[in-house]
Amino acid sequence: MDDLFDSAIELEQSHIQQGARDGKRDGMRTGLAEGRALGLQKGYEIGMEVGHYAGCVRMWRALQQQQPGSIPTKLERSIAAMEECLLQYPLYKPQDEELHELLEQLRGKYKTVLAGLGLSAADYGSSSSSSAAGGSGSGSSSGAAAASGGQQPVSLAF
Amino acid sequence: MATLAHSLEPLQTLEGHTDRVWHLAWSPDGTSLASCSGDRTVRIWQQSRIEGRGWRCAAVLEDTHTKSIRCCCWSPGGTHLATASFDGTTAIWQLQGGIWEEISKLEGHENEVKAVAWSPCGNFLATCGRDKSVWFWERGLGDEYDCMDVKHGHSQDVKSIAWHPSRELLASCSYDNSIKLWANDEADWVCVQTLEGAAVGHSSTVWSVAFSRDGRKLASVSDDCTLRVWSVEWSEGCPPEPHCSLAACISGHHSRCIFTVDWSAQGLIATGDGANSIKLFGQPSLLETAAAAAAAAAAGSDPAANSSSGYIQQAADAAAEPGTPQPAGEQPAPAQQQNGELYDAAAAAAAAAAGDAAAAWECLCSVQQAHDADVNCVRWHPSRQGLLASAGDDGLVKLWQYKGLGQAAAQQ
Repeated sequence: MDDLFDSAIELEQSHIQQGARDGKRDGMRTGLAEGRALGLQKGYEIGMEVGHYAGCVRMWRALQQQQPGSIPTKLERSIAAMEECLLQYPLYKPQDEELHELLEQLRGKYKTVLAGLGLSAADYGSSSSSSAAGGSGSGSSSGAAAASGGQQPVSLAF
Repeated sequence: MATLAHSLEPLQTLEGHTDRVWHLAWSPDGTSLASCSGDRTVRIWQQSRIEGRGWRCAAVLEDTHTKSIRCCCWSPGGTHLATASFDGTTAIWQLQGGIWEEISKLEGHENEVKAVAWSPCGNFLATCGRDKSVWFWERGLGDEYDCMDVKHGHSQDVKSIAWHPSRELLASCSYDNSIKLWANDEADWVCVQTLEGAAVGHSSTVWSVAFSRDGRKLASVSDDCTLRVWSVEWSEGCPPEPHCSLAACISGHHSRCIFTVDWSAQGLIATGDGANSIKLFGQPSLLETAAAAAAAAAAGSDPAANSSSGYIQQAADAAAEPGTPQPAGEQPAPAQQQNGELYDAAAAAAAAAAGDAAAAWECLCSVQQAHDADVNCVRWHPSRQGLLASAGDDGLVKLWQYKGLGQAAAQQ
């Protein structure tokens, strides 16, 4: 008699276990897909931002060479600090702990330079994701900055 | 000496602003009070030279900011005033020939600037805002202020900032529930500590932070209705590094969000909250000791002979503090010192600090309906004992006089 009921209870148990296995399998599948999509999006955003800063630094250096005196000397420290950060930036190590800290440092130095030049982020068509005012600022991008940042191959070498 | 009741008595109500008053600042020499408002002006109040006439509006600073002025701050020399506005800019004003003029405008924040503070040395200005950043500005040639560094450590709106009274250390507090400490590393500012986390940090927006006048403590108030006191210690390195640890969490006194906090010279804490009230907090055992010491000094014992023993008495008082508050008026006989040895200054100071941290905090008095709406700012006068100013959403600035234990001992 016990055996009869045991198999009925076991049936329910086995269904529960089967359901759990199916759920885990399907969950992992969708989780992986979601994670991939999120990673792609975040990676793109970070790449955009870092690339924007790299482009700006390159432009400032070019300006300094072609028109000496156009960039105030007091900004040298901040621009050099940005170059340091960019050289070290772990673009290809998504799990590097310093990823976000370095990005924040870049953001800070970038704003410091802009303030020193008497400009605002909107003037530079900032792609910075930190701007609370959001994407509307990036609409009015200055031609030079957009050209140097967007069309050249990704190379942070200086 | 009997323990007196603590009270906060209204002295005067200053009317003039046509919108909520956000912030107050006493000039370093104590002769002027600046208040800033949603009506986009700053009013400078001064005491009338005619006896009994009280304070009146001596100047109105207007036509500069296009939105509410959220915060104002005097330079350490009292010659300049900085105003932070919701229009995203910070203006620097100077008194020239009796007239306040705007001499500089600091731009850079992406949206509302919530606070501005001048460092005690006068060389740095710090601002913070809704764009989650803290900006450090350095005084350059003439009246130029150059942006030194922009820090993005906070993850939300930064509500307020406060400088340490004697070191280059800034505390910032935020909607992200944390308090961050920033120190200078050559020309870079680095976050040296973040006060947050379960059981230690606040559990909601931290609205205001304030260092005590001696720089040994930091107070913070929050939407979680608690007032926290942190002790500030410095490591032995070169340069010395700061570290804060929670010394006291005072809860159960406020029913609404606490917006503002300020330390008096005697170590009292004033708070203003969303329940329209102003409350004063102190450590009664320490206040009694201080009053007893002051009374002993005032009693006029022979200064030459007893100067060193007087010091020992005070050191013994302080050292005996933890857990054994001396009854007011009694002084411990020298025989009570351990082994009759003299306490050296370092030991006495350390014991005093330990006593400070351990002594219990109490709400000394509470004024309900101090304003008809939220109390946005409370500020103690820099030198006149017990004079407190408050500002509220009702558009009024009020002056109050604190009377308590300390008043009886120290005659003004």
